Amino acid sequence: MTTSTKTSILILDDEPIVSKRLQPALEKMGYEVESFYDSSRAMARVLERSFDIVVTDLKMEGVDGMQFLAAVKDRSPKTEVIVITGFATMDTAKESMRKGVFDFLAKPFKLGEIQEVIRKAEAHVCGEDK
Amino acid sequence: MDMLKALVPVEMTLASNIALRYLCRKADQLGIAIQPIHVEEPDHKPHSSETGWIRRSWESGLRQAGLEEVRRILKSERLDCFVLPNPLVRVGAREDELLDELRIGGHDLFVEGEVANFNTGEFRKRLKSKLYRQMPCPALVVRNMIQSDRAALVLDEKTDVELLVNRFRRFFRDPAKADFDLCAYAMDDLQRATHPDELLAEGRRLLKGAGYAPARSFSLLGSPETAAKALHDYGMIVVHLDRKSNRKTPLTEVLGLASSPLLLCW
Amino acid sequence: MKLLVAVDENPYSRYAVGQAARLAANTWADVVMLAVEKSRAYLDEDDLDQEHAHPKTLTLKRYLADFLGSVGPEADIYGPGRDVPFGRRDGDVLEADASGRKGMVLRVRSGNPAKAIAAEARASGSDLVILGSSQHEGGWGRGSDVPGRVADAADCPVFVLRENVVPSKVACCLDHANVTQESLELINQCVTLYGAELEVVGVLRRGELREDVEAKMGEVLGYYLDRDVRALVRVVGEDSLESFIESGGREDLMALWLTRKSPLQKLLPGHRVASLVNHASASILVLR
Repeated sequence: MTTSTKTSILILDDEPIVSKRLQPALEKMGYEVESFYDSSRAMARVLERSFDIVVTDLKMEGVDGMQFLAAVKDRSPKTEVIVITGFATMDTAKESMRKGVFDFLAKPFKLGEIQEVIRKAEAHVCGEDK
Repeated sequence: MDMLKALVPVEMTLASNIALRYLCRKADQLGIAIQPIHVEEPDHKPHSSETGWIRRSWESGLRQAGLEEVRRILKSERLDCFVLPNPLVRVGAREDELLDELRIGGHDLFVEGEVANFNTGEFRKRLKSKLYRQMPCPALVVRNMIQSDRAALVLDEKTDVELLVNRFRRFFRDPAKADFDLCAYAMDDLQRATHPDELLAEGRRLLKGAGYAPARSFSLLGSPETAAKALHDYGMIVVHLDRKSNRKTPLTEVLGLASSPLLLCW
Repeated sequence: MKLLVAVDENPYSRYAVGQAARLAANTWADVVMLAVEKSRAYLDEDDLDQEHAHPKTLTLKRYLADFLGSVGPEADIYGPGRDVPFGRRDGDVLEADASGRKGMVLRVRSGNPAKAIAAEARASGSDLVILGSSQHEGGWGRGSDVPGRVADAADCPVFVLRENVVPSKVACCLDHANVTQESLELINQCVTLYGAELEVVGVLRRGELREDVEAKMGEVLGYYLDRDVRALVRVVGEDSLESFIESGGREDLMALWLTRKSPLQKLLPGHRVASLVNHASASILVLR
C-alpha cells in the first residue's frame, strides 16, 4: 500500500488530547502515525496518499466524520477505518458499519483497548495483502 | 426604527461571557446596539496626598489598562453583532460607576450576566442592591444561552400590567414578530386579590389593544420550584417588579430559580 | 468502552440491565454482567447440578436474554445468545463467555457484594459500573447500602440508576478544575443516551467561585454549546451541596467527581457519599 514497510495510521480527532495520547503509544509499537485535528487537512492528506488504518472521530467541526469515512473508503477501499466517538448513537454505530468500518469505539476507552483494535485491524490488512 | 442602546459591563468572567454571547444573538431581534463598559476597581483608595497629576496619571493608567482588557475580551469573543466602537472605561466602585453611567448616558437597557445560584438569597440580594433599586431603565439578567426565541410574559398579583405591557412593547417592537406566551403565576388560586384568570384577561386586553397576541396564555399554579421548571424552556422571562417592596414573593423565588434570561421591568 | 453491569434479583436490576443495553446499543461497549452470591462453603457442589449450586447463573442467563432483547436487531454483535456453560475461572469466579464481535461475559463472584463488585471492576478494567437501586434506599437486600458502598469503593466511575426513570437533566457538580477527559466523555455519552440537557454546577468555596473552576465551567459550557447540546450553568455553595444533591428530582442525574484531587471528597466523607447515593431521588453518576 505504501513504500514504507511500517503499517501506516492516520488519526483524526479535533480534540488534541486523543492524538497526544495515541500517537506516541502507536509509534512506540512501531507504526508510522500522522495526526490531524483539522478534518479538511486530513481530507487533503488522504487524497494525497493512502493509509493502512484510519482512526477518526465522528463529531467534528468542518467535514463530518461520516463524509470523511466515505472519502477514505472511496479513495482506498483496503484501508481499515476505526471510528471513535464521544457522542455515540445507535444510528451512528449502524451507519458506520454500513459504510464498512472495521470497528466502532465509544469514548472513554483505555489506550490498551484501541491498541488491541488496531492490532486486529493490522492483522486484517496483512491478511488481505497476502 | 431607532436602535435601542444597551449598557453592558464587559469583564473577564463566565457571567459576562454568557451575557455578551446571548445578547449578540438577540441584538438583531430586539434592535439593540451594545455599549460596552468596564469599571476598573482600584485595589486601594487614593491617598489624600495623591493629588494633581499624580492622581490623574494613576487613574489614567488604570483606565488604559481597562480599555486594553475590554478590547482583548471583545476581540476574543468574536462577536458578530453591532457593538459601539468606543468602550466606556471608568475607575471607581463598580455599582456607583454603572449607576452614574445609566443616569447620564440615556441607555434603554442594562444587561449583565449572572450565574444562577442554588441559594436564591443571592438573587434577592441583587434586587436589593443600590444599582438595581435605582437604575433608570429595565435590566436584562442573562444566566444562560437559551436557544429558544419564545419569551414568557409573567404576571403575578403585584404586577402593574399596563406598565409591563408598555415596557414589553419597547423591546418587542414588531407585533408580527413577537413570539411570546402570557402567563399568570400564583402559588394557588385561592383568596387572591386578583385571580390569575383576571390578570390574564387584563394582559390580553392591553396587548390586543397594541396589536399583540400571545401564542398561548395560561395560569401557572404551584410552588416556585414547579413554576421555574415550567418556565424552563423560554428564551426570556419578562416581569414587572415593584422596587419599593423589600418582600420576598413567590415570583421573586421563581426568578431566583429560573435558568432563563430575565428582563426585569420597573 | 467496558461496562460492568452488577445485578441482583430485584426489579431495579432488570431496569438497570435495560438501560445498560441502551447504552451498549449506542456505544457497542464490551460488557461484563456480574451477580454476587453468598459464600456457601458448606455446600458440596458435587452433589448438586450447577444451577442448583449456583442459582445466580440462572439469573444471569435470564438477564442476558433481557439485555439482548433490549439491544434489538444489532444484538448479534454480542454473539448468538445461545446457552453458554459456566466454568471456573481464577478460583472462586464462575464465568460464561457469550461474546461475539463485542465482549459479553457473565460472571458470578461470592462474598460481600460491594467488595465483589469493586474487585470485578478492577479485574476487568471497567470504564463504568452500572447498577440499579430502589427509590430512596439502596436496595440489594434488607438494610443493605450496596450502591453507595460501591460508589465509594470502586476506582472507576459508578452509575447508580433509579428504577423507571429516564433522566432529562445531567447536573455535573464541578468542584475542581482537574476533571479528566474520560469523565467528560462519560458525561457526553449520558447526555447523548438520554437526549438530556446538561447543567454545569460550580461549587463555591467560602462563597467564591475559584478562578480555575470558573474557567473550567466556561470551557465545558463552550464545548457542549459548540456541539449543539443544551448546556446551562449554576453555582452552589459548599455548605448547600448536600441539599442541592438531595434536591435533585427523579428525572435528574447528578454527576459528582470523587477523586483525591476533588475537594468534594473532603466535603463529603465516604459514609456521607454512600448515604447520599443510597437516599437521593436522582440517579447518581460518581466520576473519578
